[in-house]
Amino acid sequence: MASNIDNIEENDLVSRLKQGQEWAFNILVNKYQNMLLKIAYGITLDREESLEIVQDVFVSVHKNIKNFRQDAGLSGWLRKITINTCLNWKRKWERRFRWSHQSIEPKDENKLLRAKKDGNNPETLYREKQIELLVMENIGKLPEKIRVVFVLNTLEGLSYDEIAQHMNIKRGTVSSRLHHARKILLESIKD
Amino acid sequence: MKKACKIYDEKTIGKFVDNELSSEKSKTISEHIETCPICDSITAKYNHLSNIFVQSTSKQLDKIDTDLLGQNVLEQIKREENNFFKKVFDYFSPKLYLKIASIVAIMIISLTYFQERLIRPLDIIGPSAIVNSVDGNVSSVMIFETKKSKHTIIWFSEA
Amino acid sequence: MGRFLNTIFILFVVCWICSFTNKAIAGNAVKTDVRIIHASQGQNHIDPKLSDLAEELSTVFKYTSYRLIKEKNMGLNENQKGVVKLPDERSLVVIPTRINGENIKYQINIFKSGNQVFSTQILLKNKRSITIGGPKFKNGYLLFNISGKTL
Ligand SMILES: [Zn+2]
Repeated sequence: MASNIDNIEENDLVSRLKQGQEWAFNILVNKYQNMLLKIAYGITLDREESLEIVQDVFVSVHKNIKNFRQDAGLSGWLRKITINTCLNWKRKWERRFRWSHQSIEPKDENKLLRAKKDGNNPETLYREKQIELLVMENIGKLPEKIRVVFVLNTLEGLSYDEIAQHMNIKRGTVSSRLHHARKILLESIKD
Repeated sequence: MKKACKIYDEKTIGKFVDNELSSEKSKTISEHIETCPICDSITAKYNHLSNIFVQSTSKQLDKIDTDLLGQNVLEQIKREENNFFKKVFDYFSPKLYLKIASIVAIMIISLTYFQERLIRPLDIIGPSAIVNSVDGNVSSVMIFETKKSKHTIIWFSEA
Repeated sequence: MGRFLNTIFILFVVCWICSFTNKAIAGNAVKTDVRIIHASQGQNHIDPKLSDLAEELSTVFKYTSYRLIKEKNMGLNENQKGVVKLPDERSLVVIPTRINGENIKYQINIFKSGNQVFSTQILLKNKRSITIGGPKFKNGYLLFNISGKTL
């Protein structure tokens, strides 16, 4: 029943958006920004970039809302645009040779050292931080096809079927890519 | 070397962690895990991995300032809408543009005089002003009007 | 180009004469209001006196703050000069050069330290207004909103 009410609200929101009501657009932004930022950050692993991407996504939503079919589901549609924008974004960077030089949050390394000095249980804390850093770094190194599946599974909690639908791949492929991702990531933190 | 479980492969454990198995099979595996240290450890590692990713991401997301996101989006939309005018006007050099603008304006005036005799109501939605000429020590001039009430705006940049 | 413009000018004069013969002169004085506005991207602020205009402007400009610096209401006869002093040694001169019931033709000049930096001739619809903007001022820009109404 709750989802039904949600749907009505969504339909209402969409039709207001189609009429070009500015405040409806603000509601849309507030409602979905966190979800989209999470996806964008998961794929790009860059805060600034994900903010720019999400901004871009909303701009293109504004442009394309007229073509949006109500039955397609707003969040799915937004998610799809975000994924595409992220992937195109990455290509944009790659062309400028920026992406390959990007390392994961170098500032965190300082924090890591600090954590080692004054943490409660320095050794454990240090080790945990190091693992986190390694995992995030290696997520960044995952091939993009695999990374997107991993992001949708882990951060968005989508089912294999939903991911398959989003990415236009088979359910079995989703399972294989996830397995691949996990294998690589666990390998990277093996001591 | 780590030993592999003889009953379940890692992919199946992955599906189990992701809740992608039938409830029957899921139950069987969770019973198996209680007795199999290998599968137990894989399950734990997979969950740990997810936790790291979720937590690390949420920490980073907390640092993102979203206060201005909505406003920036609306500004960007407006900017893109205005860009159309800018592109058109930037295409001409200021001087040539001024001449063309005056000619166009004069043509519009001639037209409005015809209009006044033919169809009066058109005036209501017309621009608030017609620019006959623009001159001065300026590097660029744009003339545009707002969508709703066709309020005429002249924008110049001083040289 | 010069000759072409001359032709256009003659055409314009012809139009002007046509319009003259076609219309009775409705009035020869015009109420001219000039509002000097500072538009910037500073803290969201819209002067209550500008709410109508700011709403219109915000559809084309990205500014978030519109402040009314000065307002001057003038009753001007045909060809009478109206002068508004502006910040930064600037001044705005407005002259209604032709007035009829439908339109007011204005000559508008902007001076800076005595030198003319901008001039325009416009045909303003009676009871409506035009906005001219551009000069940089205090992290933003100056806008001049000029409205005219025949008396
Ligand atoms: Zn086992």
